[in-house]
Amino acid sequence: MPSPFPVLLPSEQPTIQPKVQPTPTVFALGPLIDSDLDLRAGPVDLPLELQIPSLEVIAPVAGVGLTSENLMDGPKGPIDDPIWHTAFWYRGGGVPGEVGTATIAGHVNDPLGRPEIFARLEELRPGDLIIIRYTTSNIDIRFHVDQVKVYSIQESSDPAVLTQIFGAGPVAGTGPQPSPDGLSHLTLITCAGDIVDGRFDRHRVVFATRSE
Amino acid sequence: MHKVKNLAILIILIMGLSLAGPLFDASAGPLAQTSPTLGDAESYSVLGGESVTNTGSTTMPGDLGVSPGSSVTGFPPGTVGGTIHAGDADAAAAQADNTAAFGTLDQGCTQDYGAVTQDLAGLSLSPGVYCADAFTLTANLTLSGSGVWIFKSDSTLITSSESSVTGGDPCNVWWRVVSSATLGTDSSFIGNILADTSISLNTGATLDGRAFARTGSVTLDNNIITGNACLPPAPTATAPPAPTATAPPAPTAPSTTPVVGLPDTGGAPIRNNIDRPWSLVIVGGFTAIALALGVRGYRRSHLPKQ
Repeated sequence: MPSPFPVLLPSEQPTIQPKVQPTPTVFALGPLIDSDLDLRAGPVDLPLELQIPSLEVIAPVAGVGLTSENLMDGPKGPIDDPIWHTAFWYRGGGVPGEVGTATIAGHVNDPLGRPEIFARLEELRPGDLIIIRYTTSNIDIRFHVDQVKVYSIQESSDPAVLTQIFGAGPVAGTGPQPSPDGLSHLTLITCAGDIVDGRFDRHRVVFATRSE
Repeated sequence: MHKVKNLAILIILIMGLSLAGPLFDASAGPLAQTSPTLGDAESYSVLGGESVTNTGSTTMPGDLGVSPGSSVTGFPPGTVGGTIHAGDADAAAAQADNTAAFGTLDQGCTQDYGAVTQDLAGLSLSPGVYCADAFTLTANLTLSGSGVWIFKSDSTLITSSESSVTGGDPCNVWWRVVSSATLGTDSSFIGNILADTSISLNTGATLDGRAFARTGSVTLDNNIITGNACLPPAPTATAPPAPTATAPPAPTAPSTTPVVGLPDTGGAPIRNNIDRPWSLVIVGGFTAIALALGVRGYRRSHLPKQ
């Protein structure tokens, strides 16, 4: 399938070390949502699909905002509701594939303890492929994993850590900003550890960069 | 002759009923029903008086509290989107506002079923204040239109297994129950339940709203409680310090609420890796083989040859 958009530099077939290219800014992929949509509003459908081939994950993506405590929202629903198998893109962050950071969360399991879409994030290794597909134009944006980290609740409340995960803009309250390195970043988030006081006490975060 | 007489009676009856209709029209009444303000209880999904007891993977978006008791059990495996307040000042303030709201809900009935147990199954009800000695729900209740619904039970509210309520904005649907409320297994319910004694959500029941028990207990069992839209926004926290990463000069950007933490994305305690025993078998096997080879080599080199 030919590349659907003009590429500024000659591209090589990615082998073990995918070539990181400055993201072509010929056209924008977003906006994904109405700019009037409040960050407190509930989840909205998006024309996006998340694929993690090595984990056999294919999931629709919804746009989510903030909870009443200003945490990124992770919507839940009745048992067997499709929300449990849905990935959540943070509406206050960057558009996946654009220069900046896009953040996507997903459930580790459902209320019956059955594994959900992000149950196996710990199996990802540097170089593993993640795809964000724009379903209306059939454009696939490819990312490769840089690293996988686990944070405690205290660490994940630290603005410095949150800046790595969301980018500086959403943490400072200025809206998504282009990243200083000119690259397109993607972070995946899920819960890990034990439930303490009604909340999971750890988060697993996958850091990835766009590869073509 | 009879036909004309019967026809006349029919016409008079129809006229009489159509004249009587507007007398029962709630909108023509002096005061339309209003939702109480919950004050300090607004951020709560579940509030108990004596205790809150949970079994299984119950979830709720808001706060969970008990007052004047202090017993909260079952979290984990239950998860809470807000904060757990077990017998503290925050829960006491919420319980006081819950009590006030219970009083505010004692508004005049627009539809009084009388001193009976009224089954709401199969009904389609528009906004109003519905009163009965007790309410049951054995199938589906539809709330049609938009506005405020208040259901006042002088004793209990009991819904059957797999019963349901559809329609209505959960923020403006109120169930004022003088004794106790029970939601049946795998039922789905909408609204804010304020019971003077206790509330039980049986296995798998879902509630889009709140469950507040004033003096007794709230008992939960693998329930999904939603009603996120009815919770208040958090008070603005102190702004986070500026990020240390050097950012390029930003174009005039819209100011938004800063995100202060990561989402809670899971429904139950995470089970341990179950293939660990096999890896122990493999490692054990290799160790045994290595030991046997080592012993054989020792014997060959050290024992006297025949």
